[in-house]
Amino acid sequence: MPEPRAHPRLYTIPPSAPFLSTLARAILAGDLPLAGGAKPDLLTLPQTTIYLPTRRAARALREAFLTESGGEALLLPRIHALGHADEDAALILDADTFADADGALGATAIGTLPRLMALMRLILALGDTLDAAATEAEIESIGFKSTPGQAASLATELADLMDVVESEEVDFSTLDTLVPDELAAHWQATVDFLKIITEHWPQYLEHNSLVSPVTRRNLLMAQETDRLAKGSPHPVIAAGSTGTVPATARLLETIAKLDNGAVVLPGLDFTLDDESWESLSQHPEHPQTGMAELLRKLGATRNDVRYLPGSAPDGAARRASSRERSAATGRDHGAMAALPGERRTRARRRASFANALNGISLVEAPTAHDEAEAIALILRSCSRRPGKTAALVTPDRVLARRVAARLQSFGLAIDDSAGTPISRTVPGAFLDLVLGAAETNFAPPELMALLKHPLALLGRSPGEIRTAARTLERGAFRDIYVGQGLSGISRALETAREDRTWRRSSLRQEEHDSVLGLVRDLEHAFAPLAELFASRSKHSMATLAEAHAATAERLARDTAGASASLWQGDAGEALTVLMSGLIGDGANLDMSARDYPAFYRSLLGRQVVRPRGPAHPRLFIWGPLEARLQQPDVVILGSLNEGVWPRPQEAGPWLSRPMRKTLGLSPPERRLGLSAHDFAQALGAPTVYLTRALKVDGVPTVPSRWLQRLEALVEASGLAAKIKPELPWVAWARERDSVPDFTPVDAPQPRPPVEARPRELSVTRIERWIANPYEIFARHILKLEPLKPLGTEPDAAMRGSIVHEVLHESRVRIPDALPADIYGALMTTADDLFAKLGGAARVEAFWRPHFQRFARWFAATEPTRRADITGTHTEVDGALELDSGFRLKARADRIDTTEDGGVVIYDYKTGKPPIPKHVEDLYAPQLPLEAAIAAAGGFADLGPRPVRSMVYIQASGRQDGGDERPATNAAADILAAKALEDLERLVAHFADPETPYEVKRRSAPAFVNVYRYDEYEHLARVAEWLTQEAEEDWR
Amino acid sequence: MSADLLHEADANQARASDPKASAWVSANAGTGKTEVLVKRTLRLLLDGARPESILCLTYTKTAAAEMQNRLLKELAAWATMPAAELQTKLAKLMGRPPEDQDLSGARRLFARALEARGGLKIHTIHGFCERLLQRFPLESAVTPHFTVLDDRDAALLKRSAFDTVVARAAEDRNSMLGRALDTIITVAGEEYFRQVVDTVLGKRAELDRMAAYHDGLTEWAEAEGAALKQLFGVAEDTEDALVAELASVLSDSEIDAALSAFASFGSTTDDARTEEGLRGAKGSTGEARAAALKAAFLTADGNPRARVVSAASRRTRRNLPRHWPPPEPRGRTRH
Repeated sequence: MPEPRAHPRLYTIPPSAPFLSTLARAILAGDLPLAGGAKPDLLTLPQTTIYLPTRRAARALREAFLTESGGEALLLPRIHALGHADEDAALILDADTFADADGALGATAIGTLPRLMALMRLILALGDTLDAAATEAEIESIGFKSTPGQAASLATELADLMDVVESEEVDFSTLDTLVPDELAAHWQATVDFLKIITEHWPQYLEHNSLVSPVTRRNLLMAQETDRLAKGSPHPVIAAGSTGTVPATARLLETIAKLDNGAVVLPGLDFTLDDESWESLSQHPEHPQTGMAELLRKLGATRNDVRYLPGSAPDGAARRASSRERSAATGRDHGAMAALPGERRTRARRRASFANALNGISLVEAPTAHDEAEAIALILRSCSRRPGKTAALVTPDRVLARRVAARLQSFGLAIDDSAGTPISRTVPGAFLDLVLGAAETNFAPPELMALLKHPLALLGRSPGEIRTAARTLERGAFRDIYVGQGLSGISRALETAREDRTWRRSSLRQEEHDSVLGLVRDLEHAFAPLAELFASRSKHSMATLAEAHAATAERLARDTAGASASLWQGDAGEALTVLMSGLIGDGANLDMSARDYPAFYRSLLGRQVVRPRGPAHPRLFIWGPLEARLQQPDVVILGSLNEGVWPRPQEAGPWLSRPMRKTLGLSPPERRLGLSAHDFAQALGAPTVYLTRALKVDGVPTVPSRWLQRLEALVEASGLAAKIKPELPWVAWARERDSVPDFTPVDAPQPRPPVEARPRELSVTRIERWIANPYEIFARHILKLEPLKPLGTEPDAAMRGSIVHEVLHESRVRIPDALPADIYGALMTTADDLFAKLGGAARVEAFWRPHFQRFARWFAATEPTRRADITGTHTEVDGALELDSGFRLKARADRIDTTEDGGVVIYDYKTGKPPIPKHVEDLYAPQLPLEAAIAAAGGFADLGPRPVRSMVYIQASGRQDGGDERPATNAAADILAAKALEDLERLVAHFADPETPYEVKRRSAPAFVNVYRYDEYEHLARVAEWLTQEAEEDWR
Repeated sequence: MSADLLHEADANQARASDPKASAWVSANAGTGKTEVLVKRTLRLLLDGARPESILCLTYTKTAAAEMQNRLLKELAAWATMPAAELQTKLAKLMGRPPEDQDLSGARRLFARALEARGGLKIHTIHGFCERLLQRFPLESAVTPHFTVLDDRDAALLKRSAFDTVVARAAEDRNSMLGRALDTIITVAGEEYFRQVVDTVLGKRAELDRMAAYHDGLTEWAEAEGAALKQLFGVAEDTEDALVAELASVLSDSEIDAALSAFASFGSTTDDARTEEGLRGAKGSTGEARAAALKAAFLTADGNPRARVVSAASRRTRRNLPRHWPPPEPRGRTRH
């Protein structure tokens, strides 16, 4: 066996060269592992082994080989993915790569979901013990009584910590000695908590013969390393990894020292001066730090590294690309400007810097939407150039989504390779809505949202179910809804048919039947979940998940009875895996059904569905991880704002920075360094757009630190003009929203023809006619009634109508003679009506007791009212035809006939009645007008009667329970006459076809309430043209 | 003159931005407060403070972003400025001519600030608090990746909690909650009560403190009641007792004296009303007397009348005090 060479064989490919194509080319030319070696032929090529960091890179390398071979037939070499510590999804090595190795290892890796659930159980158990311990010790428990949802989130955090610790091969056993005595008490809580991963977890793994994913990876890599250390008969190449993980570094070391092995580093910087290079270890945020460390481990220096044959950048280009990288990321800019006598070199540097900036443009958009639009335009223009590839690279998934959406409207379908959060996919959203409906006990908004989802079919065709859903909405939910659960809906529908007290819309018989059928099917579909939600006991997570999936399937059943559409597509398959995992492994985790939704959402929070293959052959949207080692012709680096890219790294919730250092964990800035390296690599593409938004959500942003460095250098070199984009992308993007001409909307002035104008109105409407004619127009001429929000609670209007109803009913039931128990009579009727409201909280707590107090007051005061009265009538209909032909209608709440032949008119109010002054000034003309009708004999059974007084009875229930006060001190008949006069004038005014039904906002305090609850405000677009209260006084 | 003002402004700014002094700066909009803060931070950095060791708290995210941008812009300029210009700038800032290490240190500040561990700590107060909670999940009993409730969701949650509690109170009217509800409905409608609950929720930290101070809510209520009684000089709080006390405020002889005083000096409407009340009170007892005295000294709403004796009368007769007798307690009754 050949001895490993002492001197490691190291190459690098600069960012200006496309990494994978260059690699493939070099291998095919025989320049790798040994420069100038023999070209591999059809039989030797497949024996070469290549290690790459990610599976995506492996796929792309296969494609690069096919491209570079120029159409010749090829058997590809063995290409393996190492799995990078940063890749949160692909932490486990390719199953097929190391399939046999598992047997040799003697242990299987625990799956992600089982690991989370096991950790959750430990956390939940610990919460209990900490609590108990604290109670025993009689100190305040810091501890952690968490709900399953919180436990799931904590478990994810702990799993991350474990992965990091195991990746970096750090020993956690010294945890409790980390902290000086003063802080020991606080720290103890964390130590106790972390015992989960220092003690309990290893025990659990051992007990079940499992290993954590990272350990498995490390073991497998160690195996591979050992195998290779014995020598390899065939070429072995490791490319593209920076060796940050110790296990990987060891593998790289072994490969580099092989006779026919080579390691290719991505973008090693030769231009950084030696002094800076030496001090890199103090700067983990520098892009080159990782590789500097690797070189140190390999016992090599930069001088030992060569450019891969065929990739060395020529003269200016080389300086250019390296310069721009070191410029963007170098630490010590001072050196460039400060040294004296540098003028000539500075000019040369400036020239090469200007050269370096070729192809780079900075696009700064005012808002995030403009940025997305501009990027979409750039990508679209790239799609028009045949053969050109382009990619948007950004960690900002919101930007990615927006760009994808915009491109879709351009007719370009591009997937976001970084994936979509599961809850935003069609089946994911559906499962979420199913839970939403179940946990709110089928509250109208949630149920309607579920029924409107495209996957909700319930065995009907899409048209049928949507119609049924809309009918349900119309029939039950767009009115006061007091039902609970699905049975509440059926009941509400039944009541609606019988009792029209407060329902406005009605269904035809077949509509009614179809909706009832829908509700029945819903009951059947939700049976598994509803049962679990109804019980208060705990169930295993498996049972809950199974019920969840079963309900979803029943809901998604189409006309043929199949529910396969739910689990189709990338998202559907991902969900299948997830739900099967929950069902399969969730047997020993218990929780109540109430906790399940939060837990489910917490678990799904981080899950992302990645599309299988790119949707478009030349345009891509990548996250920074997916973009590694790829080089399209055009690269757009999006959302370059601090906090997004990069995200400043905190020490994390468990350990402080000094603690991490003592333990031997790498500082959190290491991630920044890797990110910076990605950025620097991306800058090597032929055309680069750097984009950011100046304001996001109305808040100004801070540019990304790398961009700031670049800009500082550009400013100092006076090259700001060079990075301006050639084409006005942002201006074009803003064109989308621009409007050539804009005329603001005016106040509406509808002038309907006289025939359309109302010829009769009730007295209650007159007040509103005076206050705001537009309302009359909308309600009586356009006949528009506002829809109530879905499932409104019983409201003030309903309360008012109940009170009126009770007083009317009890009068009707006990005519003329007062019963002995007035209170009892009232309450019997009232209880009946309140019972229909299904025990809503506000009814039981406020309405009923308030009414009881009112009833008591009423019973106590009624005898006084009935003295000198010959008869009392309630809900009396009356009308009066004016000279102009206008008909004034009224329904008086109560009219009592007095002994002297007059009448007393009562009006019941649940709210505040108008003050006497407002009645006198005829701002509240309702009672005076009723008096006018009475005086003219408009109340049929009564004949013309003089009105003795007009009285408001307030049924508030507060204080004494009720209040009775005369509407006004003025004489009723005089006021009535005046009111009629004013009404005649109003009618005459509006009889003129030129008079518009305007929106008015009059300043009299009497009208405040009218304007507060103007239901047609939106229709009249009041907010757009009303600048001040108009003082109108036509009266 | 204006040059002097500018000079004074500059001097004030310089004093406020001196890192050795703790300062409270109050200035109108647009007069350079952010400028002062930026200068102060720059001087701290020049003096050798590490960027990670400086914490800036602002009220709004806009202010935080603005501050960070201005700071970094200045530092970026320093990194690449020609030496002479940098020297002048530093001299002005530090108040003394800069040395070589000051210059080179100043040039490095840009990179150091950009790469400060954990980023430059310029946060809104809310942001800072959120970060603290995230850093100490066990102590704060909050899971690390929490989201902050927005106003709309908070309103929905409050509503649902309100409904639950109110429903529970309605179910069992003999429980403490039920009895409390009974008390409430006599004075408040649902909307108003909801507002009260909202306000109380906003002040629950203070309420907790007060309750703790008094060893409990009931004890506190009792203590408050006693304190109020003392303040108003009331010994009893039952309705009958209050009426009796009200009635006994003035004795018949005192009433006579007052009436004769009024008689000798004529009266205005103010006086007439008082007179009428006093006349009504004289000779009557109990509720009637109390009612008459009320009419004399209180307005319809139950507040003390602004003028019991007209100014004219008072001027001529000095020893009639302005406000007599002492104001009545406004008990829970409508009296």
